[in-house]
Amino acid sequence: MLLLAGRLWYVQIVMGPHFRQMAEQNHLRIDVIEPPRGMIYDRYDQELVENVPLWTVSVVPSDLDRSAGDHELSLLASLTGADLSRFQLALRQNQDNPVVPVTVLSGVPRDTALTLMEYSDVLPGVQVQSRAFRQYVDGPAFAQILGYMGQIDQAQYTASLHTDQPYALNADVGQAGVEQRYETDLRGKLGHQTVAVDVRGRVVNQLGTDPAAPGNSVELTLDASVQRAAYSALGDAINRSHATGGAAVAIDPRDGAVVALLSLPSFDNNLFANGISQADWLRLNQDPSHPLLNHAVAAQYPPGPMLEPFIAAAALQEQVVGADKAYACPSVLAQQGWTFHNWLSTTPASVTLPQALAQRCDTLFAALAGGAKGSPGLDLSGLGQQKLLSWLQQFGFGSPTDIDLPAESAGFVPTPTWKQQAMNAGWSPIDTYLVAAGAGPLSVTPVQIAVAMAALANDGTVWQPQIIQRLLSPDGHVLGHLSPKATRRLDLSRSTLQSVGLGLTDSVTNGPSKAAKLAGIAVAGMGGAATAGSDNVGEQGLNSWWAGYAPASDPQLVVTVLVTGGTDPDAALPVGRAMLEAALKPNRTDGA
Amino acid sequence: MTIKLWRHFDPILVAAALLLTIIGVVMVYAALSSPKAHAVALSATLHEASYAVLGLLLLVAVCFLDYRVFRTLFWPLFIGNALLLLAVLAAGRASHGAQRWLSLGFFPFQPSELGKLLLILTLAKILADRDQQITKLRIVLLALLIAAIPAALVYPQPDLGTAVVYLAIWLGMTMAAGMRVRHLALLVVACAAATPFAMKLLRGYMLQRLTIFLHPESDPTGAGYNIIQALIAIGNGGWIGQGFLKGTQSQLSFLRVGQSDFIFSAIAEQLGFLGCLLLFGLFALLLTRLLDTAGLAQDLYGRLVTIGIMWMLLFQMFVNVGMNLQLMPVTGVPLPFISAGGSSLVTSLLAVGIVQSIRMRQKKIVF
Repeated sequence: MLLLAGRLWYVQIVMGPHFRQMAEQNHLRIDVIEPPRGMIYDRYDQELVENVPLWTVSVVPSDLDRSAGDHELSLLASLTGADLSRFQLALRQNQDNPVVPVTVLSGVPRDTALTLMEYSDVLPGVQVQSRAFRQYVDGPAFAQILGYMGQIDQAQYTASLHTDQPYALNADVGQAGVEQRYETDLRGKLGHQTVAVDVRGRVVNQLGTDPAAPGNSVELTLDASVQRAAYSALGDAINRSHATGGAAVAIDPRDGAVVALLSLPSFDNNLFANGISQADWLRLNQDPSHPLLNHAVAAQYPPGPMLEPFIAAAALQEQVVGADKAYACPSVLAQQGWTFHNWLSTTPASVTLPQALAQRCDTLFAALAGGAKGSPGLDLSGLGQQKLLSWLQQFGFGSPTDIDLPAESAGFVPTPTWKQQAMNAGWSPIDTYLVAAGAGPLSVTPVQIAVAMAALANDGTVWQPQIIQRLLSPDGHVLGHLSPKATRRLDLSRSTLQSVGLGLTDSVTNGPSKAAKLAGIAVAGMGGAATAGSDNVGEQGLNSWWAGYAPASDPQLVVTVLVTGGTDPDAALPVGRAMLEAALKPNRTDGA
Repeated sequence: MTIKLWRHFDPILVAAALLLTIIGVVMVYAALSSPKAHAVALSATLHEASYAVLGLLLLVAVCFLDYRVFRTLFWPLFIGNALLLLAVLAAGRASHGAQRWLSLGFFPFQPSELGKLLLILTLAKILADRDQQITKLRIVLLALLIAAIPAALVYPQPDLGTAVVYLAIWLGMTMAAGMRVRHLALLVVACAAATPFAMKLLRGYMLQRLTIFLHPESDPTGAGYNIIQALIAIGNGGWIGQGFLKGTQSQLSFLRVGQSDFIFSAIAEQLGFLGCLLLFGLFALLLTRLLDTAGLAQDLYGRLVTIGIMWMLLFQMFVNVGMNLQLMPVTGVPLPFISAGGSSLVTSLLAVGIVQSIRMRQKKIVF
């Protein structure tokens, strides 16, 4: 008995502190409380996301009532309408540790979950839990801007471990778009709850709480109705012209706010909310039209004639052309062994600069860029390489607009230095003509065209486009207000802007963009088609562009639309019109 | 006559047994009680308490009975014991993968527990009848046979622990009867030689228990789980314990079978080192009174029965507490009076009653 007492003394007194600590580790657990994720609103506070409870059913094998075989599982199967063999399979696959809950059903309807809770007395081994998951209103229409919630990756997880807000290994984090960009704000602050648990991990007592703080909400500059109009019109245009895809951007020229931004084909970001299936993931990734890529900002295209308004502005400002002087408009301009054609056969033989813009006298713009010395009625020296490239760069081409969306592409404006390095050749005069024609290595993004067009519409301000308007606390206080950011102001005279504006307005009233007319609102704009450059393998057919703004006298919205790889050179126009109409129709109550 | 008989009644012996029984019933409740299983704990405690009442009634009843009756009943007791154990093997009810129970109509009954007492009564008769012949190996082996038959019947239940208790009873009683040391040495050598064969006979679970005893950390979530949890529970108790019903190991069910084989760990966690010393003190008091009675017994039969009972209680207590403290392998031997289990409790109380009967009929009958 002394031996027992001695051993008892050793275990209880000498080793006591050690075992006491082990006992604490046994029964004390710190549960992390996930804060509700912040909301995302459009500019009129329409909710673009919802946090929906997702009900899951798990089974703790060691807690199952086995007195009557699989009786409990059979009951669970009949209450949920699921297959008994499915449960049995799930449990067989997780036999290693019978006290660990095995998730057998996910996305159970709320009514079923409540029924199961009522039956909890006879279902001792069944646990019903809910967690919030993200659901997107109109998933595909907003997917590329909002992004999606997806399983945390290795790098994100490791990086978070050094912060005071580490992620769980199976956490969902924002994986693209606004969800990714504003993850820190949207996520909120983790809460912690110390609980006493029994051997099965069931909470028997709650000891201390450090509550979670909900995430802040993000108010976008988007107008959901314009976005939806763009989604529907662009989808129609793609179908009608047998195109492979398209992009649409709408910007407020007064402050650079992005009112709509869309890329098609899109994807349903709701697919990700509850863990995307392998098949869906492969389908999205292997789709040749890259639905996960935001073509409005992350892909670049040859602009074709879309540089003409900017070349016109540059040429007027540099006084290489007169605003009111009439010039010949040859249907073919031969320079340096190349010939440049007018796209339209209807182009008049003689035009002023605004008329050239309105009626698409493409040969005149070639002359404005590279000159047409000796050409009858078109004896221009042109801007020349240096001034042309400099103006294009000032309009924002060749560098990112710094829109706050991930993976923006810079587009490309070739330079003599680049040509020397890449091709080991000097800049040839023909290169200047190619730039003006929006061909060759030059490429732009739809959002760059929109920003440059906005600069023409707003007297010369190149904005950094923004999609976030305000950051709101969970109780609605404004935490931050993003003010407009001007990238630069262009030195464009009023008369220059008026001439270009006149040309763009004429294009809609009398020219090839007639179909963009809106009742009661003067619209300015132009469109054109470009063949896909050889750099973009796999894209064939026509890229149809249209860019414009309205009202012409006091521009409030600039739109740019691109329909890629289709058959119709004018496919983009109706989309632009639909967006302008949705934004500016008179019965709209504008919150601004 | 009756009044004179009760003059030698030992209230201390009964008081010690009664206190241990009460502690047992209360601690069964304390070991089972958990926030999620209140009703279960209460019903098990009432069940245990009803056996305690039955045992105490039998204790008192057997005092009236002259213990020498048992000496004359050798064959009925021996054959009856063997038949009960056979019946368990034949028609026993499955419990924890082991067949140890017989359903006697309204209450389940574990014959191997009563068998401990029956073995003592029969073995005492064999040894007392051959008072001076115990020095002969033949008698030692005869006694061994008396113990080995029930041991062989409980072993396949499977119940290694009880079989070992039977052999321990045999060893204690034959030594007390005067077995020669060289005979003991001879048997030890024989056992050692047979060990390799015995290992093959050990059932899977028994061998595993022995291996786990040596290396519990090799399987912390499986077979070694409870050995580790028991030590944590005991260590968690400290000097004065976590308090009654406040042991996190027992109340939150980290400790398994805390009401039966591992009740000592539950007591140690809730009542601490001092509480355990009190428990040891009560056992020591009880055993001292038994030893005292052995000296007062009027015949060799009574003395051997008393020593057998004392040895049975001491051995089980040592093995059980030792197993809780990881000094002994886990063998499923209960802590007498304390561990939940009606048959064990009734047997222990009945044994105390028999000792009381022996004490009341001691050598010098005083008129």
